[in-house]
Amino acid sequence: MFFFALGCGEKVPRTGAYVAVGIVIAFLLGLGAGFLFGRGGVTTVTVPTTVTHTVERTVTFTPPILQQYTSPQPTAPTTATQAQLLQNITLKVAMSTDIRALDIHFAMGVADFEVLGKVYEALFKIAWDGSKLAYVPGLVKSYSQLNETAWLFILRNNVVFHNGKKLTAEDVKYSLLRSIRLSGIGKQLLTDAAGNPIITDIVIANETAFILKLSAPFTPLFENLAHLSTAIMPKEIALKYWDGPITSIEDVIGTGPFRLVSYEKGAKVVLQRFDGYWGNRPNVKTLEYLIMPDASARMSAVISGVVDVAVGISPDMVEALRSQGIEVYRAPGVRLVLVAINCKRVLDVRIRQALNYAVNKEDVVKEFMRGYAEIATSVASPTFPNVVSLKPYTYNVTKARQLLEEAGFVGKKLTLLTSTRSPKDIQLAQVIQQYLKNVGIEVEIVQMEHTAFLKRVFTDHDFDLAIYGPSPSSLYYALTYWRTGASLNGPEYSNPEYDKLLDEIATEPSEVKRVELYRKAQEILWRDAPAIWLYFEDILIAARPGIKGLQVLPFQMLIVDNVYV
Amino acid sequence: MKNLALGASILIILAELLLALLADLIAPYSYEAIDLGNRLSPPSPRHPLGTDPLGRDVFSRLIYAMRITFIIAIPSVLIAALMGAAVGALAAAAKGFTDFVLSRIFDVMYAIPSFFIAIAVLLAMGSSVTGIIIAISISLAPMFFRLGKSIARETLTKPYVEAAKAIGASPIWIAFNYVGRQLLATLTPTAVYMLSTAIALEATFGIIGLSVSPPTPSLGNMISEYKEYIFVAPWLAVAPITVIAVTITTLNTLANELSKRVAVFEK
Repeated sequence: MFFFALGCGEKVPRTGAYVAVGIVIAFLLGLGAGFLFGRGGVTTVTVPTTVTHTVERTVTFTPPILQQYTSPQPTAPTTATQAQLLQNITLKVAMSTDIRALDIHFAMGVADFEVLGKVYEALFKIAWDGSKLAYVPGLVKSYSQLNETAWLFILRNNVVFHNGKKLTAEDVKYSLLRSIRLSGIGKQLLTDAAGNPIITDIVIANETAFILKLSAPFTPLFENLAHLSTAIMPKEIALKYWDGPITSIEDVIGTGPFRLVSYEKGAKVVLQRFDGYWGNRPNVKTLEYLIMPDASARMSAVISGVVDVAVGISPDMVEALRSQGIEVYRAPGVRLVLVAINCKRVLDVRIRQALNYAVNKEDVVKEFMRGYAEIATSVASPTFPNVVSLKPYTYNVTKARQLLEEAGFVGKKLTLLTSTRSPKDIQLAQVIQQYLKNVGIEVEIVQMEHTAFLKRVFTDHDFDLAIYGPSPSSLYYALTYWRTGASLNGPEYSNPEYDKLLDEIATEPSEVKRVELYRKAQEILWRDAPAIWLYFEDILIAARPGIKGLQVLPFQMLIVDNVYV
Repeated sequence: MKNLALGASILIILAELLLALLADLIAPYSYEAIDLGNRLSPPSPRHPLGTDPLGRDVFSRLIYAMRITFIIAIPSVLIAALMGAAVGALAAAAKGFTDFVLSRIFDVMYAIPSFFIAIAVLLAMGSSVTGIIIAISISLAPMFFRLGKSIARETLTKPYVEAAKAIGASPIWIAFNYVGRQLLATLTPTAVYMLSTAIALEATFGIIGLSVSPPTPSLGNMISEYKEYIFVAPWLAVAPITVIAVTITTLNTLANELSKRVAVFEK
């Protein structure tokens, strides 16, 4: 436009050209001012600091061992008025990692469960009231205990799969069998220490009723059936992919509020609201996950409005985001960041305890994590039922040195393995290095690509120290990580007394006694210190101010059921 | 004007080398002294380039990073030049089957992008300083081989070489006095140019997490560590990026000026 005006200077009167140029300049100035003031205006917006934890349906949680349970009548299906009010929002979410599986039984990473957790549901589900997690019936309507090792379950009768088929007990049977057969986590959840299946038989009573027969009493049954790795899919699909992962998008069929419509590797996953969903339908019609590994890219995407929500926000970004008018949601996380200590190489428990005393957790949480973390006081997150608060390893250099001296561990060198996937882990490694140097231990940091890292730690057990953070779904599951020979027992910790306690917990019918056993197990593990117990990372999510009703689970999972604009 | 460009670029490179060499004396802080209470502070008189996410002084880290970068880049180029040019000259002198085999080997290496060769070497050897030096020199060697071979072949056909042969000069004497000198003259600008390639390669390794292990800083792993903070603390990434940009530009200018002078000299 500018050039056009100048070029026409010959033909039209000269003043005309000046006026045109003036208009262009005024327009540009206006744009600039609008930009500046617009930003200025946004920065003054004050932003809530915590998540609004609205519980949509009040479901009373009944302890699993009660003889009988019937879930409250589900809230009346979408009434006419609600259907009118239903919004059709397109919600774009920036995710830090790509999904690694289309198959819920092969899901491993946070991203897998974030996406597939919207598509699939399990028999039970995990509810969150803002401070504690609870395991409540999901696809199950009611259950009762027939005897010590048999449970009768009745399914909700209005549940439909995305292909229009009604959910039946047959689907449950084959899904569970497939999960135990194929899913690494499913196997971990539903087999005992010796590797034998906990569920010995699934007897189908009628279309919506089935009996689970167990090899022995198993108290963590419901919490394990709440894990999405035991999610339910149609029988035909389970049988079609009996030996390997689901490969076709058309076969990703669950009962969840969203169905998968497209997946572009490394770029995005698109979900669409499933209108036949049995529960309340969300306002979000299209849910798009964009994969953005770079934290700065996610940050600028949410600021510029390319996405509505960004996950994986680092504590250092919070202030900058808030000053741009972006809301930052915070929830306590279950991910326990720890430095695993190879128990086969560092045999003396005094050395392992000394390492715990040598690290100033208060400072790390306050400064390094900017307070967006909670110092670990047990081996699992306090949001899980039955987690106790244990005596902390308070920062004490003298005590650490003394313990090391007693154990004859002076002037030794250790290697610390970290994965290059997380920049935060590499920084943490350097912080740990400095603390251990203060007590006379030289630490060499070795960075590895993530897959190689996992193999080195969990398969080869070839490391002295390693930084990682398990995200369990329950206290019991968290404890089984450290059982002798468990697949996630990287440091090869082994204590027969501890293993025995886990078996006792699984079979102890009395809740009071079980709580005591849980306490004992946590104390032993904490004392034996197969890791430097550090902190539980808070979950930080950034969202544009227009997005309301977003909720975050401590598993870094978004709940979009109540989102509106 | 020509001398100005040459002088300025030599001055800048010398200054950088001096900074790197005297890092222990110049750096106000240790490059690994973590101070969690003083994270991400902006540039100030105490910390001229601010502090990083672990509260370390960025200026001190930058000087040490330059040192590591030169420690890696200079030997890599020297090894690549010696290896490539020597084998190239040998191929030119031997001709025939030896030439054919050597040329095909380097052709294959030349055909594969140097970056992939380097990554393969690093994955096999681990990311130590030696590993990186070997990776970079292997990826640069084919270039020197080709140049070395063509220069040597051309020199060997020169009348003065024929004359020397006629009066009974030994091949070794010819190799050192004629071929060697010619190689030195022509390859020096190339080596300076390759130095900037080596620095860029090292930076790339750093960015993808294959450079030296932390807490040792290198220009590349500083960028990789600080790029996450581009919105929060922009000064962090700016410092190493500027150093890399200035160094590479200067080296390229220097190589350019040198090659002009060699060309004049040859005429």
